[in-house]
Amino acid sequence: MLRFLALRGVAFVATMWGIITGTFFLFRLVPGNAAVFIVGSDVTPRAIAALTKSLGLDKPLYVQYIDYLNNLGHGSFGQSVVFGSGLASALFARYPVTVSLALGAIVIAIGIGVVFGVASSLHPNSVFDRTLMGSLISLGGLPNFWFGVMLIAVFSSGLHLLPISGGSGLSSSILADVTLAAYPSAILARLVRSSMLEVSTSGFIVACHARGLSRIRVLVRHALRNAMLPALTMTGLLLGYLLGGSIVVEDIFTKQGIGLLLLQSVNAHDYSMIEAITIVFSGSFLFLNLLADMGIWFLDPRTRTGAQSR
Amino acid sequence: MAVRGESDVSREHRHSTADGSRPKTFWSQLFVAARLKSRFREPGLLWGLLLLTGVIGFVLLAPLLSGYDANGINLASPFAGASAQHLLGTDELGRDTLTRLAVGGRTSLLLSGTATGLAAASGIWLGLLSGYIGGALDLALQRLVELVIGVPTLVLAIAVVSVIPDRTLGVVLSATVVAIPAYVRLTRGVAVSIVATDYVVSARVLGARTARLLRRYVLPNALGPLLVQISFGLGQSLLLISGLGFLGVGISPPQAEWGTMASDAIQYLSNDPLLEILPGVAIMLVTLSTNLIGDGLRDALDPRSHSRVSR
Amino acid sequence: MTTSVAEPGDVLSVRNLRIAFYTRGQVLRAVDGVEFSIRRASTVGLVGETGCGKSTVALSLVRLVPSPGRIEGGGAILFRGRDLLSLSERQMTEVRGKSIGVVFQESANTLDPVQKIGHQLCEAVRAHESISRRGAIGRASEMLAAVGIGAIRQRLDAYPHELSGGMRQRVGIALALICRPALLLADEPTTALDVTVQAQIVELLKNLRDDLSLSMLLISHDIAVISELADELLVMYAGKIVERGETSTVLQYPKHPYTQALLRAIPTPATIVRQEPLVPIDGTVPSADAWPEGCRFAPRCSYVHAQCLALEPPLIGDRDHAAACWLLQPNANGGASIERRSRPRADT
Repeated sequence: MLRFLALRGVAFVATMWGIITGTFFLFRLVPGNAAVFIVGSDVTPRAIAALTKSLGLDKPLYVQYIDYLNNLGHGSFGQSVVFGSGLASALFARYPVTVSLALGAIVIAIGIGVVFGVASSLHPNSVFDRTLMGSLISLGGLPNFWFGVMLIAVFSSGLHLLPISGGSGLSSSILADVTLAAYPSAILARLVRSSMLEVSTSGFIVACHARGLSRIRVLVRHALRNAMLPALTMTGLLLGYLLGGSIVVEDIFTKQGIGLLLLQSVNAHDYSMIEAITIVFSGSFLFLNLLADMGIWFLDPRTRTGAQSR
Repeated sequence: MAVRGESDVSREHRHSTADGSRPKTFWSQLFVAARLKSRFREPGLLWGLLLLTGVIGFVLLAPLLSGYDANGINLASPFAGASAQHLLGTDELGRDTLTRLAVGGRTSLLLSGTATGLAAASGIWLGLLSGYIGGALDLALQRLVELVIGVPTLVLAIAVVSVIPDRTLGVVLSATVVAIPAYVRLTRGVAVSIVATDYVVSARVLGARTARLLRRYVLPNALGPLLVQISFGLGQSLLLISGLGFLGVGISPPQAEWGTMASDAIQYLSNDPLLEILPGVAIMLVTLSTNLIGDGLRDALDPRSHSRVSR
Repeated sequence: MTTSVAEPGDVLSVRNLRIAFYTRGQVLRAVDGVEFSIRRASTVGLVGETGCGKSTVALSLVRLVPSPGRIEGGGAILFRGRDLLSLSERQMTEVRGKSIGVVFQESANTLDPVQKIGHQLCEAVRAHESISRRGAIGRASEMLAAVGIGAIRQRLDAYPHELSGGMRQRVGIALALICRPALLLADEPTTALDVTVQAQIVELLKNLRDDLSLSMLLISHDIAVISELADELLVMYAGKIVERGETSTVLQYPKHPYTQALLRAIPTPATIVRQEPLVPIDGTVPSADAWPEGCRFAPRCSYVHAQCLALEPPLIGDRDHAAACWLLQPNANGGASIERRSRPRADT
């Protein structure tokens, strides 16, 4: 266990360092003077020079890089055009909103995925199964931003059931979470279904029945337990979508998370903030992925010894 | 008899690999699939192609047939309902919705197609070279790919768009960058496995050039999965690009694009819901078709799937 | 002529067992009127080629025939006098594991890959007996010892993939017997194992059978294994029993042309020593959706007569040995042909 963690920990740090370096150079190698980029070109050269100096853009690149890493070590992402030195605190004040959105969506997606996936697998090729899978395939291409707007139109404007935006209450987050969970739900439902089907025909399930175990027990403790493993792996892969998608959802439902902050920063040409948010998103993604892998390590003993997993 | 341009190498080794079988070519696989009447087992593939063709036909022809200018403002008749003159009505500035939808489609599809094409072109060769040559190049590229994948897709796209002054270029470039890793991994995997076969090793020993080797022996084996990936990738690029447009970091107005149209129309939902509904439906239809095509191709090219009774 | 040799006190008595698979508009009659009985503490071997329906028979005894298969009406599976086909699913769940145990061919088909061995053993026993966790672990340890597994503590904590094939099969046997069932169904228990391990498992089954007074239905296409363990032998072909009798008798003096052909087609130590050539059986098994009229082996039989093609023969003989072949009928062809059939064979 420790060895696994150590290896993955090192990989995490290495990848993060790579991403930090990558974003650093992405934002510094912008054609033209970054200061000009920010304030536009019809400003006096003196103002540009002053801004350049204040943002530390006149130093050689490698020096800037070292400074940047240094700052990071101290928990600072540098100066923001909008927030000044309050960049980090502005970012992390909004961070919990984004995380709760993403986690809420995961929970909903897994819930829906398992329920519908199992239900479908119990009656393969039935009308229920086919309709469900058919609609999931069609809905698979649904643009999430459009879906969110539609949900608002139907539930809020139309039916006046749920509040649209703002607020931190549960009900205002529900629509946002559902929007975000739509695509992962579809993927997970299909995956759980096919895993369950594969497992159910697998011999050991018949053997479990032959031992006289109750149907429920076989279904949950044996079939589902095995079928969930690929779903868990897939969840790890979907985390990237969930984090990115929170940008869209925060925009539509006006949730003050770092996704919305990112969009605002783009409009404000606040490059330090964009860079910082990119790094935070990546770090979150990699970390959550690590957690998911740990989960799989726990649940599937075959991964521990490197044995061949079915 | 020597064929012009062909070295002894390729002639001799055309008919054997380590296990004695010819490396499958894409065409042979497709031929087999067609022979097994896979078209009838994969109705999805057919429907997908029809749907995509239909949409492409619409975006190309509709503006020509309607005669309206997509940007032609007519403040006299905003939000006109569906009529003989405006089959789908008009938007807030009196522009014909149908025309705008089609022209917007041209933009969206063109951008997605370009991004997919660029990503495939560069990703395929990067992957082939990386897998074939191995060593430091391979390691470096793999780490680079990991970095790109490590940033959530939309976040990376927004970051790239933000640093490029020209929005259109920025959108295409970001959609390309996020799509490249899939192709790199795909072709690299094929390259790595084929490179080890005696077939290729002896070809190398006899002096065949790298590019030729890759093109002749490695690429055909990857062609099937590549086509599948390109199909799915097209849909994904569209979703990304229209998403950027929706969020306001995409193509600049007044150029029509499905994503920006969907964003603009939110405030006019009560005036004319069609303005919001149509762009989304259009995007959905295209991604549905690309998914069907991708699924269909994948099943048609997978020899195992023919024995499956039910999915 | 007898159709069954059922006696009161039989542990299992199967009558007119018919199983059909309904798929894509076709009806595959995989098992078509099979009958046999198993006495207390005796072993019946069911032998036949792959696909003749023998595994399906085993699964049907615990009513686990996979869909689209169905046990057709008109038959009965009497276990200690109770007709299993009349039980509710709930009652059947109680029977499985507790009264009838099953050993499968591959351990991969028996053990849940993500749970520890000990856990699965405990689960199996606690499903039928109200016993504390400690007690269950004790039973599990007992069983592991009984099947010849050492280092019990470690094994209980191990996962299936950490054990060798032979050990997994032993665990499978332990699982089947942990509730001390009266009847054990062994479906190709040795087929997936190395030859040396096979011998060990056969020995194990022998000992367990004697220690627990177990009745056993042993299904295999391996005649050597059958001859080691089975008291009575049933030969199955095309969904039907074509020969039945005491094992050594059937192997030495096979009456049915199929049995004879089968024994000629497989290597046995005796034939190897004598360097007799193997004689494959001509033709192929008919398709289960269209059994031929008359005797099902007739198309491939060297002794075929007109009568064989027209009418299906019942089992002809006495209680110790019978085969479904018209040529055994005392009045057919003057009886002289019977002599031709029973060729003495040195047994393996």
